[in-house]
Amino acid sequence: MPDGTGAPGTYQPGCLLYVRPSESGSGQIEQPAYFRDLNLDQVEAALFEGRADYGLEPLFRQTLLSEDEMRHRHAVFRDLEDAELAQALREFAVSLSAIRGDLARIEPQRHRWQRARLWLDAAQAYCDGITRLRQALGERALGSTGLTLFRGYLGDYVESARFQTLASDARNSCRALAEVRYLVKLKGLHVSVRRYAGEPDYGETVTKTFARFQRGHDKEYRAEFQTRTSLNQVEERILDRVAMLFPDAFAALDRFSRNHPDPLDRNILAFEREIQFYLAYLDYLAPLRNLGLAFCYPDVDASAGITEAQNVFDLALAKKLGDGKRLPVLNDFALTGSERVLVITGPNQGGKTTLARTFGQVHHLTMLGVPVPGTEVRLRGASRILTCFAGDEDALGGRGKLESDIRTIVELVARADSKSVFIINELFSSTTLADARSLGKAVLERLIAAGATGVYVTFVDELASLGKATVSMVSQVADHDPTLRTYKVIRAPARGLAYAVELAEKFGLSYEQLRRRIVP
Amino acid sequence: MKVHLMFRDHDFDPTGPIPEEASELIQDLGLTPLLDAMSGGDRLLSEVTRAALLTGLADPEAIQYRQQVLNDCLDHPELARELYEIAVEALAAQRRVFTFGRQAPSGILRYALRVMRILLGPLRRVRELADQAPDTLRSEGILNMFRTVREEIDDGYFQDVEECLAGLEFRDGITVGAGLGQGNAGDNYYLSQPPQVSTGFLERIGLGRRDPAAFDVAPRDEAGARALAELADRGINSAASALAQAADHVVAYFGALAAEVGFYIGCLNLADNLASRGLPFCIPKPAANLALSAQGLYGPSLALVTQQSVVENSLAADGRALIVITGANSGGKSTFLRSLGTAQLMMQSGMFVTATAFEAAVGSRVFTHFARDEDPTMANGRLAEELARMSRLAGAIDGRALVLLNESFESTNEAEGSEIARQVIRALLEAGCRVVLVTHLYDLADSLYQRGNPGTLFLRADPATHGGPTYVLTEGPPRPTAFGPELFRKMGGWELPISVAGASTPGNANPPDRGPI
Repeated sequence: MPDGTGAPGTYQPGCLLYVRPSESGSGQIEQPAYFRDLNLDQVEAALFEGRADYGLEPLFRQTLLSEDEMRHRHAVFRDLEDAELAQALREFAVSLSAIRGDLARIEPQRHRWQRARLWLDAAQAYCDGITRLRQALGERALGSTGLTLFRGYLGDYVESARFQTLASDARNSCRALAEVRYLVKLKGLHVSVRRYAGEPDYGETVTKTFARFQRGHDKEYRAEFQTRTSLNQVEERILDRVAMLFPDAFAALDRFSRNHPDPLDRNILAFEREIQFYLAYLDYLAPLRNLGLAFCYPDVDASAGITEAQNVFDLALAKKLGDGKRLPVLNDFALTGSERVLVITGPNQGGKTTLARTFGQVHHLTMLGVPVPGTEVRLRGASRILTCFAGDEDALGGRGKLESDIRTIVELVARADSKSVFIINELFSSTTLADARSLGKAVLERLIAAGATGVYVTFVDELASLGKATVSMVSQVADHDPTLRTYKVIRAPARGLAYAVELAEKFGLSYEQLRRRIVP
Repeated sequence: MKVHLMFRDHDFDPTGPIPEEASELIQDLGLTPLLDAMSGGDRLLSEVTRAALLTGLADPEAIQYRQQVLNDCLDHPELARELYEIAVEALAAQRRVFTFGRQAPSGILRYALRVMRILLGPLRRVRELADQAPDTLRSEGILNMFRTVREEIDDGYFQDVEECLAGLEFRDGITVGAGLGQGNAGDNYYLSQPPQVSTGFLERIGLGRRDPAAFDVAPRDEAGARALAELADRGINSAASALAQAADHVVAYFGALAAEVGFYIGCLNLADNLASRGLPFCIPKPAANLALSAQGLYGPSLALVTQQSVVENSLAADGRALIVITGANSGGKSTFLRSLGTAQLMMQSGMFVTATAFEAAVGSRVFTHFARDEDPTMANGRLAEELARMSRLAGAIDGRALVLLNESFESTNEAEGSEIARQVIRALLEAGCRVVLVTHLYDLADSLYQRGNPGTLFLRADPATHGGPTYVLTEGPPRPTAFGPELFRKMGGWELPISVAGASTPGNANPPDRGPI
């Protein structure tokens, strides 16, 4: 059942991404200012690595304005949760991209049998890809408008006579060439070519002779030979003789390239670019999901006045940790009722900045219409994300840094309104505690008055209890053993240091902890 | 073809992962002199014996498998040493074959042919040893290894190998098989058996009539000659790799032979060393449940570095999951703990042990937590360092472990240290571990004693009499002081006020939170 977001009933390029493709913006969009602070620049770079040709970056930068549009994309993502379907689309995209590369390489080849064969292989791969994609889409229940429309288009195309002839010609020619096997005997400068007649592989004789010594893993000694884009003279002379020894196969090849000069369909190429946006994002998520991290489809409801998320994590950090099979620590946050600001305090290296970034990332990703880290994410929505992260101390020096901090923050406060989300990180650390306290208080009071929601990371404890609008969160006291750090940031006042037994607990050495830790 | 002298059903990998507690075992049990005596300065032996000692076996049968091989080696040391020599020489000869880092297939083929020809000699020697094996050999390991050698490398096999290698000399040219790949370039190249000679083919080549499917590269065509060489390389690529892999496997066979026999050579080295000092050793009895008894037990490392006579202890601790050792400083407690831990490691690696009799339950691994003197890091402090170390152990300990605690948690005051230790020990015991504890914490020792658990054995190092410390442990309950003050005074210190010695002992007042142990 299509999602009913009002798309017209025929497929057209763009309809996988937008409800109304013709009105969607296109062209270049600069990275938003907050990308760097939130490490979304890292996410973007990793997302589209290997997909540079598609020019997908603007899609990651431009947030959607309506909940309709978000739901339109959610519907496609939900369809793609069918792993078989996603895999089929991924394979199709990979094959199309390879085909485009192959076709581009054909022109400069000089040898006629090589040119003809490249053309044939590309066409065969294209036909295979189209056929497989159609089978994969098959009778699946699709919920999204985008994929439903495309499936209709693809079905009609496959049934067309143009495609059917292409497919059967390619298949027949390929089969004939695949059966060609020949021997080349080299003795000195004399080369003779003949048809293969059942002579055994001597490498297998070697392997068999020494099989009894086989133990464990084999080291690979085979040299890598590059698949060349052109043949050398000796290879061309050999190929001419192979063609002579197998006349039927080569005659069929010749016919094919003359009969099918332009195999690819333009609408299908457009679809392939759009699906890349979804696949790129899912590819980024897949290893994280395999590690057990949860993503969800966020609810956006400006009127409910609730900002709430559980088990969230920093998407950039998760990638870095995930490469080493490690997991980020999950955190929760919530702003309900009159609460507006999470004020995060606590020791350094305890996960404060990470949670602040996560808060911003979750908002940005929500407004892109993609699955976000966490479970049960409900947001007010954000027309604007404003960030202010303390500048680099070394680069700016004490006084310059304070000035720069103040300039940025004043600008931020001026732009904030009730639909803004702000993330402010460790400002005023270059000034005195008293200054930081009064500056921070002033900034927070203004933002609260403007109705904005956000995060304020600070070393000034008092800012955590300004009033009903502030929620105090504390990064948990780091364990004495750095490997046991929690990185949990929870709603709580600070904790003091423990006595010996409590210390033992921190090391997981209390009776109860040990009973759980030691496998009987 | 397998060696399998260390395991009945798989290879021994001396470079495999060593448990993370290994470095602490070496430090705490003082294993270095023992390992040095076994290796005698031989790098391979050092690696092998270290790996074997530190990754013990958890299965009594697997231990007995090695003990049998060890007995054969002790009976026929010359046989073991000759096997080791053959393997080590084969490896050395192979290393002398000149090789470039990354080579074309033709180079790899030349290299592999050379190595193969060199290794045929040592293979023949192993075969001869197997043929002449004395009929007094009893161990499954050695008998099986020799049988495999006789079966796998019989005379016919040596001939097959020679023929196979001769075929790779290409006296009549190289025949390359191929199919058509991308862009009709040749693909799936392989080295083909030369074509069967048919009359027609012979005619086409031999009888002047020009073969339309043949051509010649011009003598001065350098690019053409390069292309031919490359084509040949593509053709022999797989076969060269297969031969190089085969050479690797034969080298690996000698590597395994050297490593696995090497373990027993290490045992022989140690046995010779102990015998020259008149020290006893015995094949231990790996048992199940909570068996633990020993006679004449001593620590090999200490014995190997001291000229004085070693102290031997006896122990009867069958059924005791917890052994608590208290008593005087310099009373031999730590030495005893080390000798017990070392014997357990030696037994579980399949070695003999330094005792006149030893029987013990086979556990999983041995863990040590010894108080350390070294300067703790500023950030952590001594207690935190101890706790962190214990915590790391806890992550690896399982319910069949032997855990040796030496003066653990004494870096804080007695009440706190005792409480931490009680919780740790209780958890370890309930998980199924065996714990041997040396402690000065009277609060801890006494609370354990008051439980009256029959599964706990209390040993005490008695204070030195006029003749110097006895070092012999006897069964007995903990006493309120650890003789520290006494020793202190003896060494020329002054009398400590009694309140200091007694302050840290809450006496018989039961702390509220003691769990049942």
